Amino acid sequence: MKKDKLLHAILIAVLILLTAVISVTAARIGRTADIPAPATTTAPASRTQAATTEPQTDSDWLPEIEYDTYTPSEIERENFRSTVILGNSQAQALANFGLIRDADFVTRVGLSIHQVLTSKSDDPPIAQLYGKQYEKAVFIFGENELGWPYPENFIAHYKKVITKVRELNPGVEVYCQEIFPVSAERSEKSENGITNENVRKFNALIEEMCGEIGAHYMKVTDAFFDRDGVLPADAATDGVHFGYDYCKIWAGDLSAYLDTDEAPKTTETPETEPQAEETTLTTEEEETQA
Amino acid sequence: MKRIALILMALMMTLLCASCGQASSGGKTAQPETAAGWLELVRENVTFDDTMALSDNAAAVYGIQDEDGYTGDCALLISTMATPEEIAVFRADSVFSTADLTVLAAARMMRQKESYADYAPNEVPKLESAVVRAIGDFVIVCVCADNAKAETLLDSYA
Repeated sequence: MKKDKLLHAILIAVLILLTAVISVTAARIGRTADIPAPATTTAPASRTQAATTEPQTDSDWLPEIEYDTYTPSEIERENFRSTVILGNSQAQALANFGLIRDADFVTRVGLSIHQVLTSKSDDPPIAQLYGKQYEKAVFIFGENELGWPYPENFIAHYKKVITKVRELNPGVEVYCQEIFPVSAERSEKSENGITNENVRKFNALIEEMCGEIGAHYMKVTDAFFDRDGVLPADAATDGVHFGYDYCKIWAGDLSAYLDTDEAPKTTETPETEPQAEETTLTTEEEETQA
Repeated sequence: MKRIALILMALMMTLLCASCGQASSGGKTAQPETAAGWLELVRENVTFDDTMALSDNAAAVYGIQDEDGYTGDCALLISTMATPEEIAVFRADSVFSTADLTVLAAARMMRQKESYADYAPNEVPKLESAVVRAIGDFVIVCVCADNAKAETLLDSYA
């Protein structure tokens, strides 16, 4: 009997202990169940801080997101006023990151020079210039055309587009961005003709064209070259498309170029508008465009 | 004695069930109250293939012009354009309702699909499974490497 009573007492003590433990555990689980498990991103967003406390309300839980503190100077803003920027995905990033607010953008991911004047739909990109007057036109093309087997066709289309923009905006200053280098890794892959060798080849032609037609040739600044003369590996995850920091450098470079009152270097003084060659893309070029 | 033991066991089982139930219910937290809050909530729970950056140009990116008069709270996390990945959050205001914002989001996804179809076709599936959700006053858009995760997360708040 005594033994039974002892066993009963031990059993009850154990049950009381378990009850206490489960109560505490239940309370803890209840507090933590509403926090989603954090996930890792491949590349963390810039300018955010890690949460350090358990969230209860929106303001408690979520870190303050620091938005871009980059405020363009009045000179930078003035440089981009009455300016249109035509170009590809690299140019699109400048708009998306909000680094240039005062220019109009005629840009699109994958836009190639031969698509500016034509379109599968009713409105080719050039139509966005209709009814507007710009003092400056910036052209950012070439990356998507590096795979074209006939670079002279690229130049022919480029001249056509510039001619059209000049028709729509008499007296407009034309600026052509030198094609940026790509990273060593990207160049090695040699996909769609994207190699630094082709970049140099196409740039030589663009520079020559600018000289012929009286356009400013905007050279890529030193920040975009590592000691081997290629794009630094940290500039672009895929070796081509710049992250925010490099886009910010580029926006500053563009502003500096547009700030100059210097006339562009010319090798000839054209008396008439340059006659662009009538060329059409070969099937090969259409297939290799990025 | 036996009665006491039985009562204690019953109490223990009840507490055990209660704690399990609370753990599995998801225990919804208060909803974020700002666009930035929603953006961060999604960002911390999905993954990206691209390098992302915050932008305060959400309205323009989604085709809202200054003259439209939109003054709602908005937030944007956007890629380098190597991929179409982004998170965008817009709060409805007197000019743009959640329905309007949802239409804008759908239009952007369509434009992006057209662009990436030729440029980077392997990225199109992300756009086809893009998540667009209206929750309260907010419209949340997510295009990332694991859209399904974003969908599950946002649906738990809907």
